[in-house]
Amino acid sequence: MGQKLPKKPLLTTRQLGLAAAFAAAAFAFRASGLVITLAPPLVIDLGALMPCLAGMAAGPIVGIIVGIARGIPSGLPQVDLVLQPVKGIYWAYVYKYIIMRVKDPKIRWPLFWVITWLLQFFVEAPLFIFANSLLGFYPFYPTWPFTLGWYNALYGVYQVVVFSAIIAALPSVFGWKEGKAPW
Amino acid sequence: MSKNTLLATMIAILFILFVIIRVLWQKGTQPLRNLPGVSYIAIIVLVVFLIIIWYTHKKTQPQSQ
Repeated sequence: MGQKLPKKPLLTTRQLGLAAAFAAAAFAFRASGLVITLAPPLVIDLGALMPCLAGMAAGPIVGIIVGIARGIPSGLPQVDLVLQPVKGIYWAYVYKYIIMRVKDPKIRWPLFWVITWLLQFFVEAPLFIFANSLLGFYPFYPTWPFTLGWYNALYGVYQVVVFSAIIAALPSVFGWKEGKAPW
Repeated sequence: MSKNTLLATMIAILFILFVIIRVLWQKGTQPLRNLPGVSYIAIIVLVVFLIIIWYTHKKTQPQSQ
């Protein structure tokens, strides 16, 4: 008779701990309104970056948990409660299966910068603006690259800077030195 | 109660707290957004959270054989 293997938990202790920590950060930044002011009216809401970072550090389920935490205090929870967790999912997979496949950090850094910018401009921005246009908060969806393109292009650059600073500060959390996603 | 059950319960309680804070105080607005020096406060809060994240990661690392 085959021995029954112990059931693998859905999340490890590390993932649960990081889910709580990132979720608290995501909620706190959005609920308080603590933003970094860039070129006005451009601001960076650090809470919106947390689902992506959580996905990278601890996997898609943690990305979903943190995305929900970021969606709760949102002004448009019907958009953010759906799309913030989606960010956590795609960032987790892109990080693990594309960025971390590159073992040489000298190549991995520029690849990470390019992918971060591209994901912001061609995935995140179109998704959120589309959701806003469905709800009537943006008048005519196809015009977004002309009206909000500059904003999202610049926002992508700032996102690259903040992500890079956080990963450089905490390489072990993201498995950066080991070249392997830690989940 | 195992460590994982405790942590999962903690996350559930955290979410209930988030909803209560939203309903009773924040209501989808950004109350501190116009504080003078908000960017500096945001960076300080970010550093605090990064320390918490790093500490959580360190304390919950699986033991190597």
